[in-house]
Amino acid sequence: MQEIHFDNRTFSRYPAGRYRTDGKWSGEKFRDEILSHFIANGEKTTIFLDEAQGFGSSFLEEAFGGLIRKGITFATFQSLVSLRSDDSSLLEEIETYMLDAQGE
Amino acid sequence: MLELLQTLGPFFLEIAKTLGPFFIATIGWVLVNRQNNLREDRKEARSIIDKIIEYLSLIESDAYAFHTADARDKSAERKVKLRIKTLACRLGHCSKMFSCAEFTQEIIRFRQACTKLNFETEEFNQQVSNSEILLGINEQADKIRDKLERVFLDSFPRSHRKPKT
Repeated sequence: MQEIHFDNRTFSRYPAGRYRTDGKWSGEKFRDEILSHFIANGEKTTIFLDEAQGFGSSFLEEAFGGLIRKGITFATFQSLVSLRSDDSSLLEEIETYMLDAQGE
Repeated sequence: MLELLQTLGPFFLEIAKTLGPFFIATIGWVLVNRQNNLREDRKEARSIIDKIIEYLSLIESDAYAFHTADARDKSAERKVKLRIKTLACRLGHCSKMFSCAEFTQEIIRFRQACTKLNFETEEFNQQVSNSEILLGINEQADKIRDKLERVFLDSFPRSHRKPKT
């Protein structure tokens, strides 16, 4: 079981922006360099969201909704990735973006 | 049996005369104490809700200032995101305090209003006072405020309030 933490070792405590051009720690970068990598390897992964100093909706939409647009199904994501946060609104928002992207 | 009742009757009457006022005083004390506890709970809840509303207004002002600024301000972005995270945490505590309160959808919509468009982007556009983004922030903040007030009123109906003197 792999773990992804929003800390300065794995990614950043300050994830920000939708695209790489918007910031060093963007949703696009997180999706392409971290998340996709684990999913492509078929590794069961837990993402711990609470270490981040807040998320912008644009980051969440690009990282997770964008994953679906890149061809990963929601079912595949669910079978490999579990999200952990004390803030249920984050978990629901992410799921909404993935389901919306799947419906597009 | 009848004799026994006739003998004990005056005895019980005496006991009732002696203890009656004590029982009445005890029941009165229990009722007043319960009412006072309810008022204290209400005051505590009001104070918590007022603090959340104050904090929400602070984020609303921050988000307004960010979106109406001349240029993108990365430190302001961090401040808004961190404060929304704290707000979500405080509303989570509030949900535990009031069983009827659930704020998940309201937080999502407020976060989206503040941070989905024109946020953390190099294509930042200064917003004017009646822009969709600013109106959306205001609308979602109002919805949280309204819900907090509703939760408070549902939890502490008027009968629990101290009458005005």
